[in-house]
Amino acid sequence: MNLVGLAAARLSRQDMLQGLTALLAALCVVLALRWPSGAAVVNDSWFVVAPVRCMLLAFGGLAWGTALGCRQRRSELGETYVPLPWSPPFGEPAWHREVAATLIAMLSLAVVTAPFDVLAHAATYPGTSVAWSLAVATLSATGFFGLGLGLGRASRVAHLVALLPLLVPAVLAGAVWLDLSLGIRLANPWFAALRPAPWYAALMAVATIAAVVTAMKRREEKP
Amino acid sequence: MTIGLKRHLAVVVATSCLALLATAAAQPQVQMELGLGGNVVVGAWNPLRVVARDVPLGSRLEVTFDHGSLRDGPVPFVLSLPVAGGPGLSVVERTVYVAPFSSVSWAVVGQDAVVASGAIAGRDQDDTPLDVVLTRRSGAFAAAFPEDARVVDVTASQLPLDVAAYDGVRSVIVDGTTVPPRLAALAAAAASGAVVVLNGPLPESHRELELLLGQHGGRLGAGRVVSSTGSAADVARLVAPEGSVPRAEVVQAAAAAPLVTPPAQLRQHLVIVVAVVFSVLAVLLTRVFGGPGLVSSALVAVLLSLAAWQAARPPAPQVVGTKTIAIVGGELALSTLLEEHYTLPSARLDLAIQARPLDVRPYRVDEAGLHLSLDGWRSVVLAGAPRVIDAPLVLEGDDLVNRGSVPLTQVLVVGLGPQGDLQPGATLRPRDQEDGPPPQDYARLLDLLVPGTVVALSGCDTGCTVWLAPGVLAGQGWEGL
Repeated sequence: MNLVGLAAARLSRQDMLQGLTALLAALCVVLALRWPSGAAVVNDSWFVVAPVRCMLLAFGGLAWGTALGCRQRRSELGETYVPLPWSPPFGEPAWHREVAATLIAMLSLAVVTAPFDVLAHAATYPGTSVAWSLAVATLSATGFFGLGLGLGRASRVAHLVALLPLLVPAVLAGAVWLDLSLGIRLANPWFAALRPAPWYAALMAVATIAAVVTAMKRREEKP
Repeated sequence: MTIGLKRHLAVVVATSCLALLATAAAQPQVQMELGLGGNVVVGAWNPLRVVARDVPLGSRLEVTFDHGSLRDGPVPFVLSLPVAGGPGLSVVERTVYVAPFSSVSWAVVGQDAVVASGAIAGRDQDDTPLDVVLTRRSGAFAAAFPEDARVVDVTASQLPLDVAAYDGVRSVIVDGTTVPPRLAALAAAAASGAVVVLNGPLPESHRELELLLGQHGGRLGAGRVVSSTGSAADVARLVAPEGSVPRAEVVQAAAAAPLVTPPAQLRQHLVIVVAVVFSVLAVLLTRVFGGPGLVSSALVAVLLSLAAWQAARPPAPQVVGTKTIAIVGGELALSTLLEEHYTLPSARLDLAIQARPLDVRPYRVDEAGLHLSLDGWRSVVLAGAPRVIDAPLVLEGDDLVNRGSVPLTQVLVVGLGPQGDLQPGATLRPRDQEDGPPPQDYARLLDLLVPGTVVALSGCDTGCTVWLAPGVLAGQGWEGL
């Protein structure tokens, strides 16, 4: 099966399918609430649609990346344990294929939700370019996926996997807090969506490259 | 020995004195005068004159008017102009709009250091228009005018030549007892809306001024020039603004109607339906058709994005609408440009015009023009400084004549009704017509105009000019006015 097929299969699994549905539903609701109705002429929908989209994609990327990164190695599972096909142990070729499939699925989420951003941007006519708006959302999805892989691995090494349901939102909240307290735009997807943020883009690009490198590793696990 | 010491002391003292004198001579001196003869009229354009001596080359004059209040905080209007500088005198003259302010401070800054500075206290402001007298017996006029009038005594050389500088002047009275003022200064005052009174038999030196008593009943632009041989009390009665157009009210009324139409939005219901249908389609395609479904979803998303961009994107980031109010009197008209800027993205406007915003907001004026910041989906209405243009609409005999090069449309005489259009060079004899609904472009102004005022439009393809000719038909014996 090629990578697109793998990504489609990954998207068809319940977790990502529900994530896609929830993402689209959230954007529909935000668009409906923020689009001017009646005689109103002021359209500022993009100022909510773009940050919400960016934040949700970042959250999804972080969550799915963490879920992949925290997988146990085969050696940790015991000799008698037979892993499920959709849950390969960490470091195995199948795991790397799943990383690649999930990464492409994240890209697909960014592409499929792009019309919401483009429509709101076109009507709002903000000073920020549409190219940045589209790029930052894509980078947020893939970058936070890369960060999630690292977070998941770190939590496994530190034996903190049980805390992951709290860690994922905590990391995003920490990113928001960091930017607010330092007055910079480094890690907060909400602020980054509204204005070009070179440091945020650089951080996300590095994390994306890390995810791509991880996805392209196909080495066999050493016995 | 003692004599030698005394000589030494004398030399030291003399050298010190010379050094002090040299320093004193090089000390920069700056005088600033705001308003005609230093009399500021708030809510009007006022002349500003700065005379600087021996300020450094490349100095700048910075005047800050704070229009803020306790509740709003500081709302500065900053005027920044270059001062030539160097040895000798440097003069800066400008006409500025002075809105009600809480403080005015000024400074001449040269080479990163303040050369001179000063302030005008907020409580000195007064919006009463000035009655300017050029006379040696100003006391007689001050006594003849009502107590609430502001009679100010200036010299002929203090009268500016800029039309806008007379925005806050109600009358200029010349009785021939002083040096004659320049003809152009009195013409500017009259065109700006002031009543210029040539009082008493004028001496030979003032004979030139009688050229202003023209053939249109003394009307010149928005004001008029009259001659009177009466007493100061008679002059005081003459300057009452009867039959003239209330300029400030007319400008406010003209600016009250939007000059631009914001871009139309896609209907909310359509947007929601398309968004929901697309979302369902994307989920179904991905779930049911696997890889091809995912590719199809992505393609549909791209196509929908292109369509949304085409349908929802306004054609330009800013919309500009203009309207000009021109008050006709004789051969001249006093025009005030109204310009509304509506910006979709937040923007900084840099406009090479002499204007001021109609509302209270921070802005900056320098030699390049006016600069202000505007939030997204907001507009600002700017009113230009009054200026004089040629009037196309004149009365010859009993006929209105269009002497301009563009058609005058929707001609209306207040009290007689609509009169149709007037092509260039054509004449029109006003008749009593059946009243219909007046054109939107000047409907709001009609209540402010006296009967007999002729109203017309021109150039409405790009931005209407509303011509108002007050009193053109007054006294012509038209029945029904």
